[in-house]
This record gives sequence, C-alpha cells and structure tokens, in this order.
Amino acid sequence: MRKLPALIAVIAILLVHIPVSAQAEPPWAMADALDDALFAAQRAGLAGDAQAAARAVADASATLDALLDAYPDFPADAAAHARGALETAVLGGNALAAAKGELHTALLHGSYELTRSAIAAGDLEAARQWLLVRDFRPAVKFDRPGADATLALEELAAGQISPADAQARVRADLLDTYQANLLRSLGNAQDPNLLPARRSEEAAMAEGYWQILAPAFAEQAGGDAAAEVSAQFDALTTAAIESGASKENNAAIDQHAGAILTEIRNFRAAPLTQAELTRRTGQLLRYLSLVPVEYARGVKDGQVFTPFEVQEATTFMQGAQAAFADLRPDLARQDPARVENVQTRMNDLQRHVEAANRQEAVLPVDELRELSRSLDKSLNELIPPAWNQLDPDADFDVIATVLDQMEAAVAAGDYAMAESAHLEAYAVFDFGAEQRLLAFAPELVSHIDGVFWQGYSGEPGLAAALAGSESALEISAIRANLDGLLVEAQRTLGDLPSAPGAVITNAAIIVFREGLEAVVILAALTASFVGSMSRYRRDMALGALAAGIASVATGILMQGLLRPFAHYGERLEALISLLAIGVILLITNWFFHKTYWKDHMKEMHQHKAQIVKGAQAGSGMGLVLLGFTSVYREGFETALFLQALLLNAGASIVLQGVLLGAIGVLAAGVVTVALQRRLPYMKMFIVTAVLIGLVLVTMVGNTVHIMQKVGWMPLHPIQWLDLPYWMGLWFGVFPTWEGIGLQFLAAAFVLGSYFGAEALRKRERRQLRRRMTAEGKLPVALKQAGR
Amino acid sequence: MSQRKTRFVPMLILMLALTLAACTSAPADDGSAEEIAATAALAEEASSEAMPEGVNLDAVKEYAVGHAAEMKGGADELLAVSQRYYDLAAENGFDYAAMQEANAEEIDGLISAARAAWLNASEAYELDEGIVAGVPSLAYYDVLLDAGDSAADNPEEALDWTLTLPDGTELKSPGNYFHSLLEPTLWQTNPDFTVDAGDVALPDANLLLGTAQGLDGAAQELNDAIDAWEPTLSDAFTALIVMVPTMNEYFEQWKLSSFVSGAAAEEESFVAASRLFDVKSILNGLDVTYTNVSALVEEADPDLNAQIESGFDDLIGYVDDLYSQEQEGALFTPEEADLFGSEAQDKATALAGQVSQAAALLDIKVQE
Repeated sequence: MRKLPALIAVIAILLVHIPVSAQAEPPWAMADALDDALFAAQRAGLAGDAQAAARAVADASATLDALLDAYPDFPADAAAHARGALETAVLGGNALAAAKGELHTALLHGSYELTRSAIAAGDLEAARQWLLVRDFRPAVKFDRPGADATLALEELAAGQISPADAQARVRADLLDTYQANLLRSLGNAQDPNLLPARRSEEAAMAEGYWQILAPAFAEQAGGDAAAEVSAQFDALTTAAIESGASKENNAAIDQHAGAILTEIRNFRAAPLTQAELTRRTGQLLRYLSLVPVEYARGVKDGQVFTPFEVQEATTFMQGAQAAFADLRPDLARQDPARVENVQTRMNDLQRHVEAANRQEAVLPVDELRELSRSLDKSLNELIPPAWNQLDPDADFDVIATVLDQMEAAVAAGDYAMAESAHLEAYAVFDFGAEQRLLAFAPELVSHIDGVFWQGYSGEPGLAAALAGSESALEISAIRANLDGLLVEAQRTLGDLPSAPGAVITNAAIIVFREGLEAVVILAALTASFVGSMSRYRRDMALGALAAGIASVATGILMQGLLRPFAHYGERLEALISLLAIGVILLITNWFFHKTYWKDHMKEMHQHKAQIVKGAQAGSGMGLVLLGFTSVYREGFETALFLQALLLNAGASIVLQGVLLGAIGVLAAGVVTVALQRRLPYMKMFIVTAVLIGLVLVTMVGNTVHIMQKVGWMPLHPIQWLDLPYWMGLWFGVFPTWEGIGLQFLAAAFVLGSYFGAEALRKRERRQLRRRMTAEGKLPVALKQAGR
Repeated sequence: MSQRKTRFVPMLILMLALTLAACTSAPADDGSAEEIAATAALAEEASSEAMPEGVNLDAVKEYAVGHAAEMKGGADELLAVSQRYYDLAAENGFDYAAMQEANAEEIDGLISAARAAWLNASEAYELDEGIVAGVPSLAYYDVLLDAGDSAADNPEEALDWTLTLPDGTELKSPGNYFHSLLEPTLWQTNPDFTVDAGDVALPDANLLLGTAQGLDGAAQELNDAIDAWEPTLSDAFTALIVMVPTMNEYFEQWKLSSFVSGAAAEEESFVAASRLFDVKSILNGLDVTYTNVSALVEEADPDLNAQIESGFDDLIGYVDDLYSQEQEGALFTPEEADLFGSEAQDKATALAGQVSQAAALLDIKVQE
C-alpha cells in the first residue's frame, strides 16, 4: 500500500497524454465529469487499485485540458489552481482528497469570474451557462438554497433590471453561499469524528472558497490581512493532509482554523443592503422579544411545566442568533467591543434557554426576562436607527416560524400549544404587516383574518380547525392556504404606492371612512336633542371634541412612545370598544326611558325646569363620555391605520390627506345635522332609534371580533354562512355564532328599550287620562298637549 | 321639500357616502391586492389547467396511491400473522417456553411470514417515502411510520403519540412503527421487545400484535390521506427540495448498520434491508416526481433541466451501482461508506440547489 501513490503517479504520467475525445460540452457537464473522475480515483485508491486510480486522474487531466481549450477565457489563476490540484491528486490518500476539493473550488472560482464578465459583456447566454457551475447552501428547513443570481439574470434578460443590479445580485448570492460553505467546510475540517481524507477535502474546499472571497476581504481589511489569512488556509490544508491520526496535527488544524475564524469573524463578503439590514434587525428584535414570552409560558416555580413553550423559546433564540450573525459584521465596523459584549450575552441567554429545554437547569423567569430586557436595550443602543424600522418582511419571517411551531404542536397532538402559537403568529401579523396592509388592501386583510380565524368564503379557518382538533393534514392544508395569502400580502406591501398622490388619497379615504362612522354615531345620538334638549348637544360635542384631540395625540404617541406597546394595541382597542358599548347601552336606556319619555311628560305637565335639571345631573357626564368613547373608537383606528402611511411617505404628505378627509367629514356632518333638524320630532325619534340600533349592532360585532382575535372570547364559525368582506368592514358582521348572536341580542335590546318606553308612555298616558278625567281637567290637558 | 321626502334624507346621504367610501377604499394602483389576487388566481388556473405536455401531477399521485396500497397489503398480512402468533401465546397462557416447545415449527413459520410481510410493507413504503416525507401535508405519516425517534432516543424531537397494546399497556412516544418497534421485535435486536423462551428469544406477542394493529391503522390513514391529496406543483418541488438532500443521513445509518459494520454494528434497526435499498427507493419516487414536472423546467430553462435530469441519472445510477455491488456480496468498509456518503450528499446538495433554481424561475413556492 505504501507504494500506491508512486504507482498512481507513474501510470498517470503515462496516461495523461493519451488523446481524449472530449468535446466542448456545457461547462457544468465538464465540471461534473472532473468531480466524478477524482471521486473515481478516490474510490479506486480505497480499493487498492492503483491503476484505476491513475486512469481516473488522467481522465480528469484530459477533461480539464478539454475545458480550458473549449473555454480559453477561463481565468488563469483558477486554471492554475485546477492544474495544481491534479498534480497533487496523483499522490493519492489525503492529498487526493484535498485535490478533489481544490479542483472543485477552482472551477467555482473560474465560473464566478466568467459569469460576471459575461454579464459585463452583455453575453447573457454565457452568463447563464457559467452560473450553472456553482455550489449551493445545503437545503435545510427554513433555509432553502437562494436563487437570487438565477432570477437576476432572468430579470436582466427581460430588461427589468440594469446590468449593474444584476452584477450586484449575482455577486451577493454567490459570495454569501461560498462564505457559508467556507464556514461549514472549516467546521468539518476540525471535526475529529470525520475520517482524515474527508477532513483534508473539507480543508481544501475551505481554502478554495476563501480564494473566491479573498478580494472582498482585501477590500475591507487590506491586502496584508488577506495575505495573512491566505497563509493560514494554506497551513490548514497542509496540516489536514498530514494529519492522519496524529494529535499534534489535530492541534495544528484547530490552531489554524481558530486563527482564520478570528480574522474573518466580522467579515461579510457581500455586505447586506439597507433593506436586508432592516429585515434582519426586525427579525432579531422580534425573535428576541418572543424568547421571554415563550419561556415564561413554559416555566413556573423554577420548573419546566410546558416543554413545548420552552422549545419555542429555543427556536426563537436560534432565529435571533442567526439574524445577529448576519448583522454582526456591519455592527462590528461601528463598535466592535459592544458587539462582542452583546454576543456574549446572547450566548448566555441561549445557554439558559437551551438548558431549560433539556430540563437540566431552569433559570427563574424574572431573571431571564431581565437578561432579555437588558439585551434588548443594548441592541437598541447598538443598532443604527436607520435599520430599526418596522419591516413587514421580518414580520412574515417570524410568522412563518411561529406557524411552523403551531404545526409541530398539532403533529404532537397538543392543540392547546398549537392555539398558543396560532395566537402568537396572528399577533405578529396584526401589529406589524396588517396595520400597513389595512391602509392599502383591506379586502386582503379580511381574507387573511378570516383564514387565521373562522374561515373566509368557504375556506376553512385556522382557529376554528384548532378548536375542533382537526387532523394535522387539515391544519397543514389551511396553513398552506394562509401561506399563499401571506405571500400575496408581502408582495402587496413590497409594491406599495409611494407617489404622494396615492398616499394623500389613501389617507383621505381612511379619515373620511372612519369619520363618517363617527358622524353616523353622533347623528344617531344627537338626533332627538331638539328644542329644549338641544343643550345636550353641547355635552356630546364636548366629548367628541375631546376624542378628536385624544385621537391626534394617540397618532403622535404611536409614532414614538406607544410603539413598544403596539403588541397590546388590539387588546387596548378591545377595551375601548367594550367601554363604548357599555356607555352606549346605558345611554340608549336613558334615552328611551328618561329623556324622551320624561321630556314628553314635562311638556305635557309644564315641569320642564325640574326634570331637565334632574336629567342634566344624571346625564351630563354620561353624554360627554358617550361622545368621547364613540368618536375615540374611530379616532383610535384612524391613528392606527395612518401609521402605515406615515412610515411610507412621511407626515407632511399624510397630513394633506388627513385634511382632505377631515373636510369631507365636516361637510357630511354639517349636511346631516342641517337635514336632521327638518325632520318632525316623532320621525326623528324613529330615525334615531334605527341609527342607534345600527351603531350598537356594528359596535358589538366589531368588539366580539376583536375579543375573539385576542383570545378573550371563544370562536365558533358558522360554516354555511358566506359573507362578503364589506359586511365585516362596515357592519361588523362576521360569520361566528358569538358575533352574530350578540348582535341579535344588541338589536333586541334596542327594540326592547324602544317598545318598553312606548309601553310605559302609553300606560302613563292612560293613567294621566284617567286622573284628569277624574279631576275634570282632560280638555285643558289635551289642548296643552296639542292633541 | 315635504316632510315625507326629507324623512330619510340624512340616512340616504350617509349611506351614499359610506358606499362611496367603501367603493374607493382600495387604491387604484398597479400593486393593488385585487390585481395581485387576480394574477395569482390566473396563475393557479394556468398551473392546474394549462400545463405543458408531459406535466402530470396525477401520475405522481397514482404512483403514491399504488405503493401505499401495497404497503397496506403488507400491513394486513403482518396483522394476520401477528394475530395468530398472539392467539397461540394466549392459548399457552403466555408461557413462551411451553408455546415454543409445543409449536416450534409453526412459530418459525409465523416469524418468517411476519418478517416477509414487514419487508413487503416497508419496501412499498420506501418507494413512497420521498413523496410522503417531502410533501408537508403528508409528512406526519413519515414520522409516525418510518422516521420518528422515540422519546428515549430524542426527547426534544420525538412525536408525541401513545401506542396502546392489547393488554392495556401504554407506550408513550415509542418512535416509529417500522424501525423503532417492529424491526427490533421481529429481528430480535432489542431484548426489551423479546421474551425468553428457553433456548430462544421470541417476539413479545403483546407488543407485536399492538404494533401490527397500529401499523395497519396508520397504513389505512396514510392511504386515506394520499387518496384525499391533491398534488400541486408546490408539493412536487417541495418534496424534491426537502428529500433529495437527505442522503447523508441514510448513508450514515447504512455505515452504522450491520450491512457495513457487520457484527460490530450497534444499530438495532436497518438489519432487515440495506439502507441503500431505502435510498434507492426514495430516489425512485423523487425521480418519478421530477419526470412528471420536468416539462415545465424544460420550457423555462432547457440547460437547467438537462443539468437536473443528468443529476438525477447520476445520483440514481451511483446508488444503484453501490446497491448492486452489495447485493452481489461486496462488503464495504466504514471508510468507503463514509466516502460514498459524502459524495452522495455533495451530488444531492447540488441537485436540490438546481431544483430550487427551477422552482424560483417558475415562481413555485417551496413550503417550509
């Protein structure tokens, strides 16, 4: 066996000059043939067949010659590496394995350069051909191989992007891939469990990837630093080839690999674009914020009592680490010491979460929360504000991760955990992407909401399926449908109109739509305040004015102070809605049973002063509160919806739209009030009752919907009921038993109050008539009453 | 204006205004959700109805349905044999030594028959595994039937399910039917699953019947799920991208199995059939899948399609060759198995990457 390498060498020299009939096949086919030839040599070498090994190396040499003949533009340095590799291959053993790695990456290097030069020369066909000679990241869950370079060439061919953009995307895709593969190969080269030949091949692969990346490193860190790293790689490959089973050489491999990792720790060959930095920042902060939430759900009294939640915390922590790893090189250029500090603390947090996941050691929830809080604070100080923007893409990434957790829980038969993950996913959508989407594509929001919850137009909903403990298959199908919608949402948000005209129009529509709802409410509630009761309008107007001011303040606060509380926004909205319903119920009752009825009675008995005095005492504050809550509910929504536009186009443009919408609302309000006054009192009473009923029923429907969304109320969909999205948007009618049932109750309450008041009024009249008849005053009283 | 006419004017105005606002709430912009939805719907329609000649997802389903039915047949046979074995044990009051003494020949026959039935079921499943494990909506069955770890081996990842045996014993997260439960029971590689019967160890009848019943039920569920499955292009490409690059895992199991490590092997599974056969079968299912969608890739990028088809031929030929050599008696060393595994993984990684490019070019979503 010792003579095997020499034998291979001699035979290879004899064979290498034998002419081959290799034709100019596509580059990828020739590259595959080269890989296969050296693998055949390895296989023959392992089987002790020196002759076959030598033949295989000779085949490889002939194929390389054919490739270089067919493609004379192949870069000289990459060709030299390939030839050098084949010269080493004849040595067999570890050297042959390393040669295989070196040859493979030399071809990648050549193809990388040729792809780029072909783009520069406008030769797209050649660029496509050479791009097929490339490596990919291994496909793993959540990290599929990228295709940006391939798509960039397609878009360039279609004239959708410029050659410079295509160059940048091809470069970023390939360099990212090769950097990831470099790190993987470096890790494998250090792995003592792998056989020496494999470690040699991995070391040579890492060195080969480095040669592709080195120019980018030299640009960022200087030529001397690049030369130093190159020397370390060279030493690493040599040490790996010579390693055998020697402990000393294992130590040498570790030493060189360690030195390389230290040098390239903050290097990123293809720096992230601004959009990518924002997306990674969004992922990092969202994942990190979810870690203590899940941990707290899974740990109690120093013990893990819900392992699934802790497992979720582990997944989020891994997501945060991955995002930080991507940001790290850019952050380190600004403040390397602080980056190190944050990294250490992130590792510390991860160690605690993983220890709990393994149920080895459980850090108390408060301590973990504190670690997380302090880390979040440091990150917010470290990360430039320009990156720390609301990013819907990051939201979608997080949603996908959480929905995966949901499916895992379903697969494990744990529907309670699945529901928890489902709620989490919805919360991320609701407070991120949905807020922006609402401003531009409300129908899509309704569709996504429906599929998240009770279902939509015959499509089943996730919440309902989970509540019914449907099969994993069924849940998975719903998830697939939801994924499609979320992709649509992501695309919509990616293509948001940024033209000022479109933004102004959208802002105006939002203000007008929500404002009209407020006008309807106010018109309904103030309709009967005529004559002596017109003073009540003042109380209502006061409340409405206060709500307007509060809405503006909310909008301003949402830009800054309230952002950290965005997570609770929907709960807050649910509370405001509940308060509004409570007030409107009280006032409805008061309206029918006190004001209207007593007002009539007082006119009939000329006891106006006393009764109005009594009513004022009891109702003044109530009316202010009614005006406030009714209008603030709409104002709160308007403020939420406008956030998306503010982020998109800035305050000055949005304010123009707000002004336009407000003018429209004011005009509608003035016309409504003017026309109202012309209605006779009794008719107005009926109109008012109808409007109040409408407002109450809508408000109840919306409130039930929002309470179901935050998990405060159960959800049972009406499977056979298919409602258009506008029924939900405008009248709060969603196809759930709870929602529609309570809306019926609300309607019954209004009708009951009306008929109750009518019955009381008639009874009082009868009594009055009897009393007056008895007292002989009836004709006078009737005259006074105008009857 | 009369009172009658003015009665509903405010409401009318409000309704008109509300309707107007509702009608104009979506921006008249190129990227509107309505247009995107319409485009997506058209694309879906196009993908399901106007597929180029040669694209045939129904053929993929037929392939899966056929092998799932074969698997159910094997599971039925195994259940019948296990039931007889259990009845025999029950007749002997679960005194295995007495049972063996009185029925040695029949027991030998039953165990052989059970092993043959297991092989029928398992081999039929392996031909489907590339599709079942690769399509997210079916993947659950792969974990339950063939791939899931037990809680004892992998507490973090184990599927949470319970197997109830005829005597009422409950096994929590016991792993998968084929390799965690039945194979060690039938080939007696796990002493916990066997009972001492004097000179020989016999399968625990209670465990064997319980797992055979469970397998039969799960096989039926899988058949139902595949029957109900409506394959999409996304399913097909996801299966390819998810399952092609799993070579390393199978080769590692092969390296540690008795087929390579011989008597030194500590694996209690993968003793009945070489893992190479499983790899070969999985690739077969994936090749069928790609063959039935490749016309789309050919249309989008003929060179890429040629590369992918060549990659499949190369990988399948490579594994076939190794399996044939093994069947002919070649004994590979762990070093060779390691080399073969890493080569297969490299080829598979490249192939999955190429299929990913095709999916991206065709705008086909790869599911997580």
